[in-house]
Amino acid sequence: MATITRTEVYPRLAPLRTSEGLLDWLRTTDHKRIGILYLVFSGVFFLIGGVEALVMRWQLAVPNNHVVSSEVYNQLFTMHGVTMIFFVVMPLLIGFANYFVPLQIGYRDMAFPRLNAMSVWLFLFSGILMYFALLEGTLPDVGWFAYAPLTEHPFEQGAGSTFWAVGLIVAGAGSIATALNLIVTIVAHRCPGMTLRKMPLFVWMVLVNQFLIIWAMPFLTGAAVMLLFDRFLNTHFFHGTQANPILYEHLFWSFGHPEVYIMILPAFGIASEIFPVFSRKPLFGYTFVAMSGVAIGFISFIVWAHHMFTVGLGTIPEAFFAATSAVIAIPTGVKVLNWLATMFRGAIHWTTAMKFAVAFIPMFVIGGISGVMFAVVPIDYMTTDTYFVVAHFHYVLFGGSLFLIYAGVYYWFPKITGRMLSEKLGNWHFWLTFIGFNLTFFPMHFLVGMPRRVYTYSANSGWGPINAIASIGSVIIAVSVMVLLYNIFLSLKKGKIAGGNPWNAWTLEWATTSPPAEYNFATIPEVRSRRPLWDIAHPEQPDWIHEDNVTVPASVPPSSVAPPIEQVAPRKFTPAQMLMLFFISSEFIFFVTLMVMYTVYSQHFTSKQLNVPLTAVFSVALWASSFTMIIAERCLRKDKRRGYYTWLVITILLGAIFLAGQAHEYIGLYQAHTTLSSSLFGTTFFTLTGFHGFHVLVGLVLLLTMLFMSRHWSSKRDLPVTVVSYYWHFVDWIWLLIFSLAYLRTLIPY
Amino acid sequence: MSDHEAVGTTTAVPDEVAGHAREPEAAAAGSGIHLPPTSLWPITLAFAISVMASSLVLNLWPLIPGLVLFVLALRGWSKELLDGHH
Repeated sequence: MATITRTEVYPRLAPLRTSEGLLDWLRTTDHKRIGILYLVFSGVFFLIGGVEALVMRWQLAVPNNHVVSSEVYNQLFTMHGVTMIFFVVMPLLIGFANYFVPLQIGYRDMAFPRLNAMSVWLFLFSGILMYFALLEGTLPDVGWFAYAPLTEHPFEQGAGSTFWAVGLIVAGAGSIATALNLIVTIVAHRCPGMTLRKMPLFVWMVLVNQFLIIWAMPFLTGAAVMLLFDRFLNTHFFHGTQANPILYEHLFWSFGHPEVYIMILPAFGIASEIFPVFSRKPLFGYTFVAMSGVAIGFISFIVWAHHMFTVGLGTIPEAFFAATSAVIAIPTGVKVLNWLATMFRGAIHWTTAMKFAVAFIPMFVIGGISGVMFAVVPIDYMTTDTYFVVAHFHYVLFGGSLFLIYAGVYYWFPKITGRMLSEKLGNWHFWLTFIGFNLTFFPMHFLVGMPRRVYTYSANSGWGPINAIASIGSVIIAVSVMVLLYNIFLSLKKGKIAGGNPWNAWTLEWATTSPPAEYNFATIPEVRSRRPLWDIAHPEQPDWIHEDNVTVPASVPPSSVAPPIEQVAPRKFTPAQMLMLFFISSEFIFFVTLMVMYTVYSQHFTSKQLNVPLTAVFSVALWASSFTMIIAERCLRKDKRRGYYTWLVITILLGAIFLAGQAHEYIGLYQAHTTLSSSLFGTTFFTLTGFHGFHVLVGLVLLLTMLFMSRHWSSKRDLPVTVVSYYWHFVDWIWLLIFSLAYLRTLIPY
Repeated sequence: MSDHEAVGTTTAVPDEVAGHAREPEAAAAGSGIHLPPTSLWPITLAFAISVMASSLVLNLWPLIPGLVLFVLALRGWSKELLDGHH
C-alpha cells in the first residue's frame, strides 16, 4: 500500500482484459461497467416514462380532450409513476453508487462483483417483465401504489396488478441484493485511514440509503405477495367480509415513505460533493450533514401514515404522524443550511453541475415546504389527491432528485468517459429544464380543486389555462432532454479530453485516470482527511490539521508531525458473514410484516383448532437443530470430520422432523376444511407458517449442499458452513416468535 | 479555510498521482492485483429468476425451463467460487 503523495507514482498497468464486445458487457463483473449499465438502462426507462408523461400532458392540454381513452390514461399514469420511481430515479442513483462508491473509498470493486452483476440484470428484466403486460393487452392501471381492494379480482379482471406485483418483487430482490453489496463494500473495504468520519458524504448517504432499502423493501414485498395470494389463491388479506384493505395502505406506505428518502438521500450526497468543489471550500458542518442523513433515515420509518390521514386514523395517530412528519423536515433543513453556508463567501464556479445543484435548493425547498403542509392534517384533508400533491412530489423528485442527478451527470461524466460534456449545451439544458419544469409544475399548485388521475375535465371548470401552461412546460422539458442526449452523443465523440481531475476536486475518484483503469488504483490509497487530494496539493496546509486538531509548530513542516494513518478498525466478521447478517435483518422485516398481519387479524379468530403440544414437540426439534449445528461447526473448526458429518446429519434430520410435523399439521387442518381461502385464520396462519416452512426447506437444501460438498471444507475453509449456519439459526429462532404468536397465544384465556 | 484556485487549473492533481502513464508499463499479472473474472452466471441466474416469475403472470410453462436454468446457474456460480475465482 502506498500513501498518496505528490511524489509517488501509480504505475499504469497493462489492461487485464481487452475485449470490448457485447459479450463482455453481458458477463462483466466490473463495478464501473455495471454502473454504466444501470445508467444506460435507467436512461432508456426515463425516455419511456417521459413519453408517457408527454401523452398525459397532451391529453390534459385542453378540456374534453380525447387523445387517449380513460383506460389508457389510467395505464399511462400508473406506468409513468412506477417507471420513474423504480426504474429511473432509484437505479440512476444506484448506478452512480455502483460506479463511484468503490472509487471514493479507494477499493477495486464491490465486495461481491457477481452479485452486483446479477442485480443489474434483475433490474433490467423486472422492468421488461412489467412492460410484458402489454402482451396481455393492458399495462397495470391501478396507480403506482396499487391500492387494494381495487387490485383484487372482483374489481380488476385483467392481469395488470399481477404484473405490477411480480415485477416489483423481482425488482425488489435486485435492489436488496445491491443494497447488501454496497453496505458490505462500504463497511468492509474502505482504504486505510478512511474512518467513518472521513468518508465522502456521497458514500455516507449511499450507506444510509442501503439500510433504508433492505429494511423498507420487505414491506412492499410482503404487500405484493399477499396481493398475489389474494388474486391467485383466494386468500382474504385485503378482500372479504372481515378483511381490512387499510392494512395494505399501512404496509405500502411503511415502504413508500422511506422510498421517498431512498430516492433523495444519495442525491443529497451528490449535492454534498458538488457544492464544496465548485465553491472551493470544504463542506460546512460535515458531521451535521452526515448525521442528519442518519436521522432522516430513522425518522423516515415513522412518518408513513401522513399519506393516509384521509382514511380517518383517529386523533392520536394523526397527531403522532403529523408531529413526526414535521420533525423530519428539521434534519433536511440542516442540510440545506449547511450547503448554503458552504457556498457563503466561496469562489463559486458556475459550471452546469453547480447550476443544477444551486437550482435544486429552491426547488427542493418549495417541495419540502408543501410537504410540511401535508403534516397539517386539515390541509392534508383538503389537498389529498389533488394536483397540489402532484406539484409537491414533482418538486421533490424532479426539482430535488432529478436536478441533482443531472448535476451528477455533468460532474462525473468526465470521469466515466474521459471527456467533458459541452458547457454551452449544458447551459441550454439547464435553462430549458429549469423553465420547463417550473412552467409544468408550479401552476399545478393552483389546481387545488382538480383531482389527480382524471383523464379529462370540463371546459367550465376553469382548469384549462393552467393545464395548457403545464403542457407547454412539459414540451420544453422534452426539448431539454433532447439537448442532454445530443450533448452526451456529441461529447462522447468530440468532447474535450478531461484528464484525471478536471474540476480540481478532492475525493479519491479524481486520483485515478479518466476513465479509471479496470483495477481503479494501481496501489490502494491511504488517506488522512476527508479531502485527500487537497492534502496532496497543499502539503503546507493539509486538512488533517483541522480535522484531527493537530498542533503544528511554526518551525516544522506539517508532514513531520503527521499522525499515523488511522487504521480502519479490524472487523469481527468477514464480508460474506456480514452479507448474510444484513440479509437476515431484511428477512426479519419480511416476517414482521406477516406477523403483524396475523396479529391484527387474530382478533377475528380463536385458532383453537391448533394442536399446541404436538407442535411444541416439533418446535423443540427445530430449536435443538440450532445447537447441533453449532456442534457441527465446532467439529469442523477442529478438523473432526466425523463429528462434523454426524452433527450436520442430525441437524438436517431435526429440520426434516420439523417440516414433517408441519406437513402433518397442514393435512389435519385441510381435512378439517381449514384452508388458505376458508377464513382469515387460514389465510394468515398458512401464509405465516408456510413462509417459515419454505425458509426451513431452503435452509435444509443449503445444509444438504454443505453435506455433499463436505470434502471442500476444513478448519481453514469453513466460511460457507458458517454463513449457512447463520441462516439456519435465523429460521430456527424466528420460529420462537411465530410459535409464541400463533400457538402459545391460544393458551392465554381471554 | 477556502481555496480560491480556479477549477481545472494547473494546480489540479498531478498526472503522476492520477495514474497517467509516465512510467514503464507493468503487467497487471505481476502487480498482485486480483480482480474477479467475468462470468455469465449472474445474468443467467437473473434471467432464470425472471423466467420463473413470468410463469406467474403469463402461464406455467416457463416455470420448468426457468427452474432448470436456475439450478444450472447456481451450480456454475458455486463452481467458480469453489475454484477460487473470488
